[in-house]
Amino acid sequence: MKRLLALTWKEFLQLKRDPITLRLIVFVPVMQTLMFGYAINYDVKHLKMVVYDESKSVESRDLVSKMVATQYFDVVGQVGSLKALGEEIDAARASVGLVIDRNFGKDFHRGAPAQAFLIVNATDTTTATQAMAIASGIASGLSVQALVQRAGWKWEELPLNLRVRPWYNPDLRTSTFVIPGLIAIILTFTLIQFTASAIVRERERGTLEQLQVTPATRTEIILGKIMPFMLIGLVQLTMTILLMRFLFDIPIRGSVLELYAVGLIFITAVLGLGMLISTLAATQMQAMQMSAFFLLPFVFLSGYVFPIDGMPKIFQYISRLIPARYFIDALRGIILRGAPIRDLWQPIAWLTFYTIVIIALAVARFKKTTA
Amino acid sequence: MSAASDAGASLEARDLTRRFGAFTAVNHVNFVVPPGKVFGFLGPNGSGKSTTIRMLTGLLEPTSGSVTGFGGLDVARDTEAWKKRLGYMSQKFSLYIDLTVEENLRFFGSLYGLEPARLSERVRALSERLEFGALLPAMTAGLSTGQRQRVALAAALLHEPELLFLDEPTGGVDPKGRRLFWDLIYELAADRHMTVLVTTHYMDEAEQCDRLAFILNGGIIAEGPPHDLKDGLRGRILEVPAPPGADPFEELSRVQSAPPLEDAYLFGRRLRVVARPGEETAARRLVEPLGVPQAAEPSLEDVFVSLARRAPAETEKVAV
Repeated sequence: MKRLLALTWKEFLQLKRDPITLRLIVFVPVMQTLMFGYAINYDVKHLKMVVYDESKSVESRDLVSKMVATQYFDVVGQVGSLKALGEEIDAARASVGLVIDRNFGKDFHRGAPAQAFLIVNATDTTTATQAMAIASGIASGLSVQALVQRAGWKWEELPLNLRVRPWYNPDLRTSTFVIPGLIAIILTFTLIQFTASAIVRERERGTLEQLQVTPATRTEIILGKIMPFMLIGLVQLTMTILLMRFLFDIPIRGSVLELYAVGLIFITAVLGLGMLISTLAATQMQAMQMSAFFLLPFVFLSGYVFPIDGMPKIFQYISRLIPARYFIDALRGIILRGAPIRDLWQPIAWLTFYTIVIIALAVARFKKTTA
Repeated sequence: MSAASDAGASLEARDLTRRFGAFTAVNHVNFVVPPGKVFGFLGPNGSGKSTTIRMLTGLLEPTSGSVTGFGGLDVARDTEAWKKRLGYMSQKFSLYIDLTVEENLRFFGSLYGLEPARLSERVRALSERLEFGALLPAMTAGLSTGQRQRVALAAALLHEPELLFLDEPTGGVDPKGRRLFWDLIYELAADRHMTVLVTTHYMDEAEQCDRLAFILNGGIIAEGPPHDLKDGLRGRILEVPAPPGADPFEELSRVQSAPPLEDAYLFGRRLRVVARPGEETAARRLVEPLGVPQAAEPSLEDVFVSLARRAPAETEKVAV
């Protein structure tokens, strides 16, 4: 135990002398949270819309104000010709153009089809699809309303009044979806790289050999490497949680204690993975490249960005091998749904299983390479 | 090796062998290191010296054979107890360059379980003795080669090991640093019966050892006290100064392949020849035209060259 303390203390002393790493520990989580939280945004809100209203009627203005009221469209300008509207969209000053037919108001009144059309910049397909769906929805709503009024329906609501309620993320905010998963990604990015080079560096410099002639056991040497980074991982976890809570306003519905417990398991898994890389790589350079190799599937196959159910079967199977997948499952469960631990036993059990496997492999490899 | 089970031995290697794939780095090596003695390994690069030391410290598992010592401990079985008793200083500087000298010493001292008070006392005593007290707060990265070696020696001695391994310890160190270094080691061997195993290239360092083992191609080709190792060559070495004006190289090439000589080389402006056994008179006659030949004391280098020359043909070991 005394030896383990000495090994751990030594790591901290070395960290103190390495201002770059020290800065990375703090800045990477903050930077990534801000970057991913703000910059990555799949929300189709406040699309810039130009309007060419030939009708200039109460009805046409009603259509525009209904669209604006959804918050999905912001009117950025009125134009006087189709050509001008096209120019606005070409110049990307607007991504949506609404053209309202000269007879829109008149037709609406006399019960003939009132004509309007919507031009959407479809370079970003997600945005385009959603904009079109929302506009069609508004049009259908207005149409049905017109029809039922004509038929003598006297209620405010429509005959079939289906209301949609998006749970857990009522505002449909991307950040709510992205940030809990981001905790896993941040911990992976920073911790894997720090530990991957740890053993390799000591081997390259010859200090590993000096450690090994001391009575310190291999397990102590590995634990002495892991423990300081475990603490660093917990600090990073705390920073991300605080940013999530107070900057992005995402409350933790479940237990914070459980969140930390699962977090600690995942941190151990990632550190073990870094150690494993460390024993496989011959140089620090190789260690860096190998950790980059592990980072990609952690980001793309863990369900962090793309839903696992939507992946081809083969990737779904691969994703089961990725500890981050289970951690993200548990994170979303605890943070967004407030799920109790008994509902999350499956991902937590898998995460624990992989953690044990990884640590066992790392210790076995370490023993083999240093025997 | 009749001394194979010396009761007082600090260390005994029996049939020690290490193979790396098809290459045999150390081949059935046997030796006994008596307590309180400085035991030297002498041999060219790649002869198996470092591999042997690594097996003796427990860093490397032997392919076969055993290492025992400290009154019955076995390196493979009692690894932790073994490691507590030894100090090791490797060929490559192996302290943390991003820690200060004192932090390094405290770190390694703690790994050996030294109590804080005792640790402080040891750090103070060793840094004074090895004259680097002023460097304690300095970053290790900024130390010169000689300073690094002294700090590394202190790190290896903190826990007062019974057995000290030095793997080519004084490469690139200035004479004053080397003297400080060796003075302390001989003192500890004499006063505290610390046993020392050292590999070296320096003949003067080898000369100081109590016993020497010559290693070539993974095997010990001769072993014994330096003085005894020279017995085989004593009386067979002659030195003649090259006459003024003569080209020493010409004189050398004239005698070099003469039948009575085993070896001939230049030593400054002096020609040094080694006579074949029984050919001493013929050899003397050969070099007399140059000047008056004088019998010279064989150096360890002479001994090694002579042994190495015989080694490929005659692999049996020369026990002294």
